[in-house]
Amino acid sequence: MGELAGDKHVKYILSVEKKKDSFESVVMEHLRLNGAYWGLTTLDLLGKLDTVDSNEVVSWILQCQHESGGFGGNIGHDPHLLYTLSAVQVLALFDKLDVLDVNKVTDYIRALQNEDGSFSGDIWGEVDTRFSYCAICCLAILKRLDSINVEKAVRYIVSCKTLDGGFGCTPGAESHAGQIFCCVGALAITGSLHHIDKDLLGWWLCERQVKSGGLNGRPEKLADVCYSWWVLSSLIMIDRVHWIDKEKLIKFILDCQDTENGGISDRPNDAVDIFHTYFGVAGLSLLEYPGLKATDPAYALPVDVVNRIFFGRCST
Amino acid sequence: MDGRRIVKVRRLHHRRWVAEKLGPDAASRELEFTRKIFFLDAKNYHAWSHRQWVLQALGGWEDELDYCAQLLEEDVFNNSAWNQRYFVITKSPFLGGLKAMRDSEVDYAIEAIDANPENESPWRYLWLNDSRVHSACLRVLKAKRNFKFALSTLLDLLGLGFKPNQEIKDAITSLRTSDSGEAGSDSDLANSICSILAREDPMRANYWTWRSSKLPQAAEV
Repeated sequence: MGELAGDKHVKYILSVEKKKDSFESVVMEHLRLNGAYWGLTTLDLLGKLDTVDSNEVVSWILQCQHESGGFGGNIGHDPHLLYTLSAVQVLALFDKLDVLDVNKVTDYIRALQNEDGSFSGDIWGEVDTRFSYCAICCLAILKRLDSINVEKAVRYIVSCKTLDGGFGCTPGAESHAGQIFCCVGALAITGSLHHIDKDLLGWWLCERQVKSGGLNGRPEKLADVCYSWWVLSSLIMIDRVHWIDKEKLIKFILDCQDTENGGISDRPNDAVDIFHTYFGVAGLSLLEYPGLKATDPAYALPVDVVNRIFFGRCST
Repeated sequence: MDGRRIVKVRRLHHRRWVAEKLGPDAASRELEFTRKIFFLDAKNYHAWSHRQWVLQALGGWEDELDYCAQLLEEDVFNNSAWNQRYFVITKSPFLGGLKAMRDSEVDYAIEAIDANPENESPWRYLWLNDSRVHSACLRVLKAKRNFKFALSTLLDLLGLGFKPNQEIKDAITSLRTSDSGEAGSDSDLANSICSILAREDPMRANYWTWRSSKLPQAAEV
């Protein structure tokens, strides 16, 4: 089995952060805040967050904030829950949540909850359980979960449960591992995991492991490193992670690395990107690969960051 | 949540906003739009979500089951199309709901299973309380290939109190490699199934071992 080329990945991430005119940067311009979360969380998991100037990042993040309190994907971009979550997560990484006007962010998020408990991603109204997760995770980090109707939010998520025990983006939609992560994560954070048939869902999730050892997101789709996060974290949250073959999955993730130039791709020998680099490293962290910080499966942040949020500074 | 997906989704949602203003006339145009996407990518997740929204908000249910059948003819492994079948069966105002359609849908799923027993989707589409399901499982076991889902379905059935006939018991026994005596009670049979599955599907060995620990104990007479 290969090894995790941690130093190469650090170099790769730092180079992407700097090259603002590269193809990848241009393509990612509208979701740079998501990219910041993926890149910086990976650096932290590799123990190298200090290679970045936190003041520069924090100042840039605040410039992404809209007058409504929400955050856009980049400076001057319209606000959306997806970027608002990334902003709060990155500030949490740097222990700089105190720069926020928590009331403003809270007001932005709670205004996006609909009558049926669902959440719209922004003022244009698109509904998706991903946005339920973004809202709940964000407010939990800010300790303002009580500002939304949690019961209705949970009820909406449960209405998106499918016959095979998984969850879709809306009621009736197909089970999809990414949506499952969002729903299970939201239910975990709100203490509502009892709504899940863990045995049924656990089986559906462990059936995502294909011959190569990688995981797909739905039946008969190709394995992709990002599902190493979404399927794995879901399995951990419902205590069923021992149902997959961990060794084979580790090997698959390691095979997706570009060990020369750094970065991880969706499957072996494809082009790398920041998104898959994060999910590969985070997946390995969940699999307790040596040399990586532990990751919280619900908050998708290092465990010590989550502990700091909820329990203050720990002596560990 | 990667970049390409987010961009596609925003465009889809803007279409929704426009379609809502235009009313039911927009239904066929929106359905055609998603059809074009499926021509290139028949499992596109957000296009399916958009199509479901169109049907519920604007109508156009009449041809939907036929459309699902067409997609499944092109690729019987398309899980999105199987999901859409269930969506149509349960929600279409023209089909009479689950009760009315159950019979024909079981036939449809079993036909798919007979053609490709390794296809996960139709197995998950089945309603277990049906003798046609037992026969389908038996056919797959007898063929001795791709019998994983047939075995796990029988395991589910045993858990629901199903009493397999001798033919099914023999078919299971013939798949065992070790000769540890005849499978007697149901719990022996269920244990046999679990050990065969752990052997055939070693990646999920822990799951199948757990299943055997969950088996109801053989009733004391």
